[in-house]
Amino acid sequence: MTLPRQHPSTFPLTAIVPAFNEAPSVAETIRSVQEQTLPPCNIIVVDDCSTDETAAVAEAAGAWVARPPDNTGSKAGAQTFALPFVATEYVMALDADTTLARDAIERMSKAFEDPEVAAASGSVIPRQVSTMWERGRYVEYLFAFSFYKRIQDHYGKPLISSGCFSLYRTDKLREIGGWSNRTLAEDMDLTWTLYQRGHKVRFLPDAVCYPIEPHNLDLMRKQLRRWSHGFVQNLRLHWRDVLGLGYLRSMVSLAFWDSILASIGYLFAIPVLALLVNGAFAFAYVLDAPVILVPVLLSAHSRREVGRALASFPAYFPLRVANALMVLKAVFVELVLRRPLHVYEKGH
Amino acid sequence: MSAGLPGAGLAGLFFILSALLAVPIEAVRTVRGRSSRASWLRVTRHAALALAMIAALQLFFLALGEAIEQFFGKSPLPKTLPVAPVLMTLGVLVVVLSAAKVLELVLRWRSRVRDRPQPVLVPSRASSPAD
Repeated sequence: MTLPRQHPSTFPLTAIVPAFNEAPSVAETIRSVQEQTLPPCNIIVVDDCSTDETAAVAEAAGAWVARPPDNTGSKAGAQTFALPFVATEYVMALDADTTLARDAIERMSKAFEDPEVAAASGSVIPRQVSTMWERGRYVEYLFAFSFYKRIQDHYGKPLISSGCFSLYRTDKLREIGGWSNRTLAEDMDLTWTLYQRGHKVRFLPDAVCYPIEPHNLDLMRKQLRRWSHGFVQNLRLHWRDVLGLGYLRSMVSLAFWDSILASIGYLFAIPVLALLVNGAFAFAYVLDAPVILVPVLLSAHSRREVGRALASFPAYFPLRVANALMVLKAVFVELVLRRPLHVYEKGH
Repeated sequence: MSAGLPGAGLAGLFFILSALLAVPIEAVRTVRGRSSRASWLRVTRHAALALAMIAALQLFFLALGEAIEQFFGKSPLPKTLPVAPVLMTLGVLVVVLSAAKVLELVLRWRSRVRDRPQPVLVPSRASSPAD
């Protein structure tokens, strides 16, 4: 069964919004999609057996609600459940706690003027920036999306088409069976699979979305755990194919070794050297601060958020240490102990 | 590299080099008639950003050295971007990228050997049991 069009849009797009207990945020997400300059034809909210009012709220907001018989156990499962209902040429994945800039879809749709493009994603900016963890993430995103990701796109290989907001060609997505739950980072898995099939993936910096990021250590820990394990699981799954993909091979091998070496540095080498040799070694924690600050401030300036970026900048460094801890743990558990993590813990 | 991954040294250097390398690559594309004004704007922006990042790091060392000297007399930190750690990071970068490339070549060679058609033994007529 496929859906009749809810909106006579000129862009044949269906939005899939997977949701588990998202009653507080899902209505705002749906509204931001409905108010697009180029709205989609349909909005499907997959209520993954929520125990709150997610379905009722989504229906009242004007979305079509699909409900699997049992909880699918992951975002990928919920999204793939909705794929058979899609009757449009393009499909969009959007998290239930993520809103879009008014022109996000219109800007992103331009990527598909190239018939070889199978997926596209845009910039991500945290919607709320108040706690230390949100501020750290804000700086991390400004840096990654204003420098790294743009260069990755220039060389034709964005590392990930972000799962919180991406557009896909429906037929290409169906060819590979939709979103897979074989890893905890379904977006990375999908992006690398598309590259292996010879498709292009684009990053459109001006298409902006605003997710709610983890505001405390517990939620941040859950999210980083999922991301770190997901990264290592994708490495194990795709390494042979990634080796044949030039620039992606370089990025992935560097991401892996950089994560390990930096983690060892932040967690062991720097504190030991600072304590035993010379306290000045502690400067190593912030030695790259100017390198990070330049693109962050430029990006913040274009958003008129320089004050916010400067106030948030110190929070980037504790977040980086937390990242280091989670990555090192994930590498040890997944590659040394060979105990893959399968439980999808929601941490926004 | 990506949100959630902690590295900055190797990846930072790789993307700075990628941004700078994009300029000569774009020049070659221009000669071949495959470039555009938009593409040049993008490349120039990335390269300028990369240069600004290097300059900011240099200024940071200068300011830090001056400040430490001002307050403590002699600074243990250099006032210019230290070459040794940069070269060391560059060395690790080259080793990682080369190892990945070598691994790719080895796997390709092994799959070529595996996929090579095996010689089939055809019995000669003289020794054929049918004779």
